[in-house]
Amino acid sequence: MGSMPARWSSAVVVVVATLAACSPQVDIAVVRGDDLTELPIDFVRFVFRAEGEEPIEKGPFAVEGIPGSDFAAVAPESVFSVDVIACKELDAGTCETEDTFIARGCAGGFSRSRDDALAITIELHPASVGNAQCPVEDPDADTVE
Amino acid sequence: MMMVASLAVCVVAVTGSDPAVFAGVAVRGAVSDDDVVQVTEQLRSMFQARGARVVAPIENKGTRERERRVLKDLDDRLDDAARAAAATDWNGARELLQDALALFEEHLAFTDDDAAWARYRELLVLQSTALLHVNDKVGADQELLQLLAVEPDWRPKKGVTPAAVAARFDAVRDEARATPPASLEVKSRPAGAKVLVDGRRAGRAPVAIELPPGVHYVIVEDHGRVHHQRVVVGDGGARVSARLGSPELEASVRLLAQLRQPATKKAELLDLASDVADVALVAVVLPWGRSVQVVCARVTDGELDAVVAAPLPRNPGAREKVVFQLVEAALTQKADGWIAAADAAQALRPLLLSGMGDTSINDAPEPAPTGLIIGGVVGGLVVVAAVGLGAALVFLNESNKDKGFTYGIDASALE
Repeated sequence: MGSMPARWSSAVVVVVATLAACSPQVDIAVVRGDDLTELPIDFVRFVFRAEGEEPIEKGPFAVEGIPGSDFAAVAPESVFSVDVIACKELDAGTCETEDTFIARGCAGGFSRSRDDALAITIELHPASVGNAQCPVEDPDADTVE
Repeated sequence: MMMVASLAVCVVAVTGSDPAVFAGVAVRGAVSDDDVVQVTEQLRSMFQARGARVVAPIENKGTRERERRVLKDLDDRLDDAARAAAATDWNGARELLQDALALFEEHLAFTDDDAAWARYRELLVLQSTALLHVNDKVGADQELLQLLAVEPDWRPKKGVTPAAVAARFDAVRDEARATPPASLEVKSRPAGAKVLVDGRRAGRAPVAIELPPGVHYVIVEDHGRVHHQRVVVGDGGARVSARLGSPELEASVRLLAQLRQPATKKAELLDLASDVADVALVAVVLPWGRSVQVVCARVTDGELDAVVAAPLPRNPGAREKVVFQLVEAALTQKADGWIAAADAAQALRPLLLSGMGDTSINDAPEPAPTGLIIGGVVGGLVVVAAVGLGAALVFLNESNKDKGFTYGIDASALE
């Protein structure tokens, strides 16, 4: 195999370095729970909740069109949770209230420093189950109230 | 490598809607024979391929190069014929020898190259052998008679000449000796042209030569203007009358002679080029380190309307490509310009008229093809853009780390 021209190898190094630098710090895998094997899911939206901060809404997205990566303004060292809400349709008002959710799952109590990587797996359950579990309670909520 | 200190110019003419006319090639300065041959051949063939009509004087060096190539082909065919003969496939051998003869007559018969004529004699011996093995004694004798017609002193060689031919030879030689020689008269216009018969010098026209009847190959040549003719000389003899040159060719010869001088006035160039055709293209080949530069000019209705030039790479494939680009530009480009080089176009006309090339370059760099230059520029921009974008992304990412995090989602399990 011929050697790569210097300018292209330089470009490759730059691209690789850029990709490495910009690779997601938090990887979120969304999976189906055992109670949700058959239900078709077309849309999902994400809610990041950090202590003392307004919830950060992302989506809804079509399942096959979820952005590969995005930014969540959750400051380092903050304790945060991720709420994933699934819907069948996106008509007016749907996917906004719990009665329009068809599935939901969440995980919380995460905290990370500035340069930490984190992997999160969120299991979706039927809305009746998920709505009861989510959002994850703020551990300090009671104290705050 | 033998160097020549001469001038080479190629001239091409395009007359209005008539086909382009390619009128010649020459070299100015110390350019190697190999370069002269290669560039000349490529310019001739490429101008012709682009529809040009070639009236260029014959370059002996170019002819030699072509002859070398054809000689190899001829050797291959003779080898094949010998193998067929060894396998007693005599009809197959005869067919191969007929092909070899056609090749010789088309490309090699009008040369003084001893190697080519040695192949011709070998061919006739093999043909005679094959005919004897198919019981065609008359045909076999005719081949030997032809052999003696072009080479009266030929004799069989023990251990080399096939025994069947050697056995027939004495009878055939006696027949040849019994046949009176015939006269071949050669005239030329203009008179004084050199005459070669069967590869041997035979004086200057007009001339009468006594020779054995048979097929003879006659060349009449005068300063690159060549007439060649296959002549069947019977008992009553034969005549060859060679009218050398044409008005276009004569004008090209004069133009080339002028451009071989160390310097040519532009007015002289235009006058002489106009004599060639309404539109004439002239190229000068100059030394350039260990390679050459070619400068082609197009003269249209007495005006020098475009000069294009290119330094030629030494690599044969790259060189052919550059010559192709040069020919294309010479025929179509409207303004002066370099091909595959970045030199100033203003220097081209002085280079055409009086340039002597540059032999001081010890190791001339290969000129970068235009595509490579463009590719390099584009590639450089891509790299700069990639570096800039990468740096911006890295900076942005580092900055964002204080405010939050980037995340990726894998929801393929939901699909």
